[in-house]
Amino acid sequence: MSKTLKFSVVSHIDDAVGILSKLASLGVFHPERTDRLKNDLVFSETEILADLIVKLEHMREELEPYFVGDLQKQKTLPLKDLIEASKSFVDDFSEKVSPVLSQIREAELKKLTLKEDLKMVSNFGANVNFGPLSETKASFISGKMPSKTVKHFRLILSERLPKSILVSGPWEGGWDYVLIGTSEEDTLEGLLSEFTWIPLYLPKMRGTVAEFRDSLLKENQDLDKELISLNASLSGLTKKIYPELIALREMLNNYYQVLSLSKYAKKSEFFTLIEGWTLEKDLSKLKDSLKKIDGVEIFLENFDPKDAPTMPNHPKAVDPFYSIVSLMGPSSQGSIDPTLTVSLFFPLFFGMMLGDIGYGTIMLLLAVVFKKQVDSLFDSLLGKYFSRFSWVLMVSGISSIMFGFFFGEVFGFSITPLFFNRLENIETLLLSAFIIGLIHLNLGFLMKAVEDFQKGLPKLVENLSWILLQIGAFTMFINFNTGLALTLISFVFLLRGDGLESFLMVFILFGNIFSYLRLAAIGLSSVGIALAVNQLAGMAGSARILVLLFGHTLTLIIGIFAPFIQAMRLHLIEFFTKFYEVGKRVFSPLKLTYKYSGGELKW
Amino acid sequence: MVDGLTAIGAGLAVGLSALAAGIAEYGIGSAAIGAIAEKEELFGKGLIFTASPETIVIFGFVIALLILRGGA
Repeated sequence: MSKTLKFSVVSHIDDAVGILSKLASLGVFHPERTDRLKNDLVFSETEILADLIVKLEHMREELEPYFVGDLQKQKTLPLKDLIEASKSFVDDFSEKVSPVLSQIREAELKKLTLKEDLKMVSNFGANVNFGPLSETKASFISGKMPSKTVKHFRLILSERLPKSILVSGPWEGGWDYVLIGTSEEDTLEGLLSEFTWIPLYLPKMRGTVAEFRDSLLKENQDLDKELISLNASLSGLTKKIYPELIALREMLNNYYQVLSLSKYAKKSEFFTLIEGWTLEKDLSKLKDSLKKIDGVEIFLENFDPKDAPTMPNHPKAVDPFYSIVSLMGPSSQGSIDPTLTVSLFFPLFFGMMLGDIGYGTIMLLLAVVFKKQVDSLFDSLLGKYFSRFSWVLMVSGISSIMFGFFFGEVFGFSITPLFFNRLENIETLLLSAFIIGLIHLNLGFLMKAVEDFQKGLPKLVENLSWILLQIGAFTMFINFNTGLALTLISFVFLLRGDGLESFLMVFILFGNIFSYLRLAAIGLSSVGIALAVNQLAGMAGSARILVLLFGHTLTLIIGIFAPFIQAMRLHLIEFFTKFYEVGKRVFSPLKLTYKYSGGELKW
Repeated sequence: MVDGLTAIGAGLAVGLSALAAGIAEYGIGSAAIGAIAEKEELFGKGLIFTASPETIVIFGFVIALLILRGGA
């Protein structure tokens, strides 16, 4: 992990904003709250900026769908000018854009209502005439009732409300629509409660259904034309103001981020104190930048390495495997970033367990499709996580195909293996797993030895003693006396380091080594299941294809899940516990964005 | 007779160790899920503790293999 250092900056109170601005622009400063002074540093502009950012963000969301074109970088404005420019932008937006947006929304709402009306009208026969209903000034009540009761209802209605008008016709599913025009609503409601009646929303219809539908279609066409013209007008406005909006929003965000840093700073009557972390390699750059301001003093602080934020430093190509490392939490200061090692051993373990050309190929294809879907669907942290995950699956799939060739397996069927057949050479498989386990574990001890190298000889010797202990134990099988001597020497060093606890650790170590036999065991069980599926298919006669499809799909699911968990476990339990020390936090420096604006912030 | 007893022995080695791992994981797993629900960062540690007893089954499996190969 990259080494971080804690430092504090003391400056005159008038220079506080300049210091914060420089720290934020460098992108190498991880702020830390300080309690060495009591008074908070407060800037009155923070609230104004927050308010403007919210307003501009809302406007951006409104205009984004209408913008087509390129965004140009704009020069960063001084804070006062920026606030004025943003306020004036907000006013212009309310005056020119908001009315157009309201008209578009209104027209879109009307279109939705029309669509619903047209859908409703399509339920009536074209020749049904609503003329009598639309001519009355009476209330218009619409609903549906079971077809068999309509005749009876019509009779009762003509008796109790002789002046009412009723139009009815067949509806779907054994129901009839019933439309009633009446001036005696209360009596009608009483009458309807005696029948099965479900109210329906119906547009106020005029003339025949065909005439009414035509009028709706005409209205729809007019709305379409209106919307085209409104959208064109808004697109024109957007083209003019959107680049400015985006640049203003970015500038406001940058100023706001700098001012928000004040929550980490404290002040006395004349001075401000800011504390934070930076990477060791960036310290001189940071000092050079701050020294340009008069009267600034930078002090390196003492800190507990366990408290220090750390930053992983691994090649970018293996970054997807960091998601496995991060399951342990961030590492502590001075710990080696194991991502590169994980990127080699995780696919190796996975491939050795799954080890089938057929399953590996399907898994690879699924991972490729999954990655494409994830990349197109998500543009977020979650998407990034899934994208990393699919990379891990892809590499593991390739490894499974390779091991499939080594073991000669395709969907459980045997082909000529490059190395050996797993089921026929179980001892060789177990031995391979054992040797891989030894290499992996001892790599962990070596990594710990490298980490402890700076802590002094006793620690280094203690870690190397674990390797010596294993060499001694295995040498005993060849030459007992030499092996015993080596084992005893290693015990002496171990006792010096960890005391009697070492005895317990010896059992754990050998348990760990044997734990790698799961590489063989899980592999054998997956072959076993595949073979069982193939045998079942052989007995299934004409349903053979179905059994093969279903069986191998199930085996593939188990085949992906089990090796994934087990490979992860071998890393998290057996490997990481040898050297990985969990830290408290990740180094996350404050970074300003200069995508649409450029130049220094001016206060 | 010997073959039958060998098979029973191998079966017991895997079966009993799997049963033991299951019982152990039942308690650890439910506690781990509870802890992860409270604090998501504990996923790694939760997985470690939950997966720990599985090694017993691997030992059982290896013993079963040795019994079967020795008895063949």
